[in-house]
Amino acid sequence: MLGSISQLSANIHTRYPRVKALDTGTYIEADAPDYISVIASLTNGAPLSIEYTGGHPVYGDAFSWQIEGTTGQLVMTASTGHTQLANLAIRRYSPSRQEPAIIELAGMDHFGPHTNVKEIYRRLASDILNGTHSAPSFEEAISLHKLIEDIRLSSRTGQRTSPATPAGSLPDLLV
Amino acid sequence: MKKKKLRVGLVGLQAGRSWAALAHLPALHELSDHYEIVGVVNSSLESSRAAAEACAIPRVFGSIDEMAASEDIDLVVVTVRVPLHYDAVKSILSHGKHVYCEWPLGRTLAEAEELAAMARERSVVAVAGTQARVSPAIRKLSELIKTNSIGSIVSSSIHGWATPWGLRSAIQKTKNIYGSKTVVLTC
Repeated sequence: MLGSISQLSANIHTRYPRVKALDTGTYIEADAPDYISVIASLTNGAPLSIEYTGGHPVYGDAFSWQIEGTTGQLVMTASTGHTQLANLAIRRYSPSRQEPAIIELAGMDHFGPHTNVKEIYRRLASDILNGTHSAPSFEEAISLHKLIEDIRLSSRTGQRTSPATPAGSLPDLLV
Repeated sequence: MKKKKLRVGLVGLQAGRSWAALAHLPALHELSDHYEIVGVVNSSLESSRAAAEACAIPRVFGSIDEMAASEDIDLVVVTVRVPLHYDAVKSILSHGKHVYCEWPLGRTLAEAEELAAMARERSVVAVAGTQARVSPAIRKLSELIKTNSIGSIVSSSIHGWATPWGLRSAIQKTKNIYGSKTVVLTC
């Protein structure tokens, strides 16, 4: 999308160390982070910052992604940070227009938790039947696992880290 | 000629409430030209039978291994808790079946790497459920950037909140207990 992360520095915390285990109903000590901030440089030179907070905001959107360009700004928002199931909206702001342009999205009618999962299954069927490589594979899962390790490492050591295997975009499926 | 459908086995399904029931079943039903749901396996036979009956799924399997070994299954879908992914996916791959495992693939990078290496050795399709990457909105955003809709990129920032971790559950929990607006940060 924006290019891959070439370098990052991270700061992770567990701000709520007592959590309820949903299967037993008891409270246990948490060691997984519930606050994650990352500042990164992308391969195309642009800086990126990411802040993820546990919980739900009292004020503002639960997800907001702003991309600043030389001729305008794109803003993606949703009512949850779980982007895998969020009904995402896109607006484009231009210096010449007072009101933002709402970007029309195809394929988001009757949006639900199944919408993106269905797209995976559509790609998966093509990958099995036609030999394409269009669904996110285990190899891509490894890239993401490694990125998480780099975030942990940077937070622990206070050093900037350079992710080794940046993830690219998935190809479009032409069926 | 009738097109051959991919025959799916689901690992972890509770009617009306699990992720498989809320997301995978409706997705597969909408793609019934390509897929046919053949069987289900849960942690107990009783639970598997209940899910099969409630969701009109023809077969119940006694174990993941039995499902993966079956000649009537082409693809096994893993939607159980992450600590159970490793053993489940290993068993599925050992039978040479295609697999769709929810993200995160493993508890650790090492677990995930082992599973990926195993998938690489076999000519199977092994998919991880990072479905935000194929979201129509995310792909539209990517297209807008590629087509220079805002010129060249200067910078970008993301702020997200995610439950069930964090403050919101703490507030609700505290309100439930005390019936007041007092917020105790350690829930």
